[in-house]
Amino acid sequence: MVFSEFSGIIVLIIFFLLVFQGIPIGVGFATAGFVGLVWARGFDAALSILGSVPYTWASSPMLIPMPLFIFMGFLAFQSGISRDLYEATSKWLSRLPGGIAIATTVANAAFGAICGSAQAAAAAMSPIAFPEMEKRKYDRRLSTGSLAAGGTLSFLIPPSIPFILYGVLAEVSIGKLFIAGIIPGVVLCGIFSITIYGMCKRNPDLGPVGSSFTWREKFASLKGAWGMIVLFALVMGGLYLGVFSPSEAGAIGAFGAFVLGIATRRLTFSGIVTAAKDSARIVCFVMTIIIGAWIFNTYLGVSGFTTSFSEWVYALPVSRYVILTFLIVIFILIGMFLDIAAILLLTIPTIAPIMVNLKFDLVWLGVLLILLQCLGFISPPIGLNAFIVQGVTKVSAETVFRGSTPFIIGMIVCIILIILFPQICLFLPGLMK
Amino acid sequence: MKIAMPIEKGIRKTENILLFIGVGTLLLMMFLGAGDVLGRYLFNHPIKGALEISQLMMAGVALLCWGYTQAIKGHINIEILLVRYPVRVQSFINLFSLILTIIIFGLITWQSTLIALETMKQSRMLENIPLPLFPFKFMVPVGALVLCLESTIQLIQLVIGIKRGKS
Repeated sequence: MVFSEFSGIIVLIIFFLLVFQGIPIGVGFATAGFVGLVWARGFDAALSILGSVPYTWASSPMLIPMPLFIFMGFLAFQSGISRDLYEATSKWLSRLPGGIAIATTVANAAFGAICGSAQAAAAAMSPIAFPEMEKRKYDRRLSTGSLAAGGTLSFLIPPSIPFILYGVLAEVSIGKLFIAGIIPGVVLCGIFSITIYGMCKRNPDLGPVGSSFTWREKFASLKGAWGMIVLFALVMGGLYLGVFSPSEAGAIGAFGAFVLGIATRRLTFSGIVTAAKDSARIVCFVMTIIIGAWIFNTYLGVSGFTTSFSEWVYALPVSRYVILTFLIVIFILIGMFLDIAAILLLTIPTIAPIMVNLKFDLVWLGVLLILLQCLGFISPPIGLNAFIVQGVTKVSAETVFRGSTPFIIGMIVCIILIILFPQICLFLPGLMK
Repeated sequence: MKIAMPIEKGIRKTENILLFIGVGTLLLMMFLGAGDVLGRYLFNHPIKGALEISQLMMAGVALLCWGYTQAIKGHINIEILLVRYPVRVQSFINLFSLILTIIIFGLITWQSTLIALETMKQSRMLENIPLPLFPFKFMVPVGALVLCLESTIQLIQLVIGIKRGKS
């Protein structure tokens, strides 16, 4: 084993030791990276990198869409859009077996079209949909499982914050990634809905059929949601047709959500301030992880670890699909323990060039890897969405995790479909200008 | 203790002022971006240097809110093992975590101050706007310093708690 591989493994161990003891992820990355840089290049060089990385990344033009799309989601949330979407979908779908859970899943997918965070989606929808499902005597495993899983649709359906990060790290068009996520997001929403329908058809006690509504009531329910639907069409249509860059789409999306909220008189001054404060907090912690991770990645680069690792992978006497399978297993495993931003920052700079050389499409790979991370969001032991739903609903974590199991199977089906039929991801980006 | 209270209040006030600036900057960033797009497509007149200003604004949002995010414990960590330890062990790990945070951000404060001073000495300007670059470079040491000070307050409170036998 040469020095770069040995030191790289030691520094990786330091990183994992720190973060699994509860050290903030950004600090864990920066500390391990700094130690590695001192080891590989000396104290002065390490200090210089520590001083220059924060400004370089905090002012990176590629990351401008991130704060804007985060702000768009929070403005929409403060305007009460999550309740509007739930009201609309529940009136259209409540007559189906498990109709309220299906309605919640569809509302989550629609909310994902204006919000790029799975945590925010689960936190927004749980206090609205869970009491309704309790009222209708839904099985708690089904209700909480559908809430946790439904929230993850926000990561696939654009705008998606992980896609922005992946695009920056893998040097892939963020616009193409956004558009590539649409069909898989809709397919996953369909799989979740069919899962709920099938379970409740077999055992009606899990999710009893709800009340019926007149066509007039159904169409009236769309009133509150139309504005955001138009906004989504404008932002994604602009990206798809090449009218906007991702940064411009983010600005127009946030501004549109702001104007809509004001025009409908549902966005108050305190709502705007809360949305901006929440957005600033998320931008700040994500940026801290990015900065820390970049110090770490600089070490991996200068020490020669990245090159040694790539050469080792190329020398493996196996098919590229064996390497892909290995990557999938690794992503599922670390997805159960680490935050999505940390995983992308830890892995993509190293694996993206390898996967390009192995002739895998990076847009397709991005969708696949983000979907794999969605699995981690509802899997034990630290599935973040499961814990958010547990926090809001006050049911046991075990119930939520058990309830998530059918949806995990649904996600695996979606992953297999994406691997077998890459066109699910690549069809729409292929038509882009 | 009598001296510590006003210092703590001062640090918290600074965090809130920086948060206020960060929040205002985010709103301005949105208006600037939208104004640039609307100006370009409706009046064929984009805002000059909009992208460069947006970059600086994003840095403002991310860096100036460092102290506030630390104050509300907003920097994410993995607690899967931590919560399984006895309370006293948890306190010592938190202590270690704060010391590490202070060291790393202390070094960032030091080094980024040197970079900002160097930029000032060279009189470097922004590329598209006739403004000096150095005030924006100072956002890094300011944000990192406030984070260090906030972490120091948390460290002192934790040490007092451990001494008194609280978690």
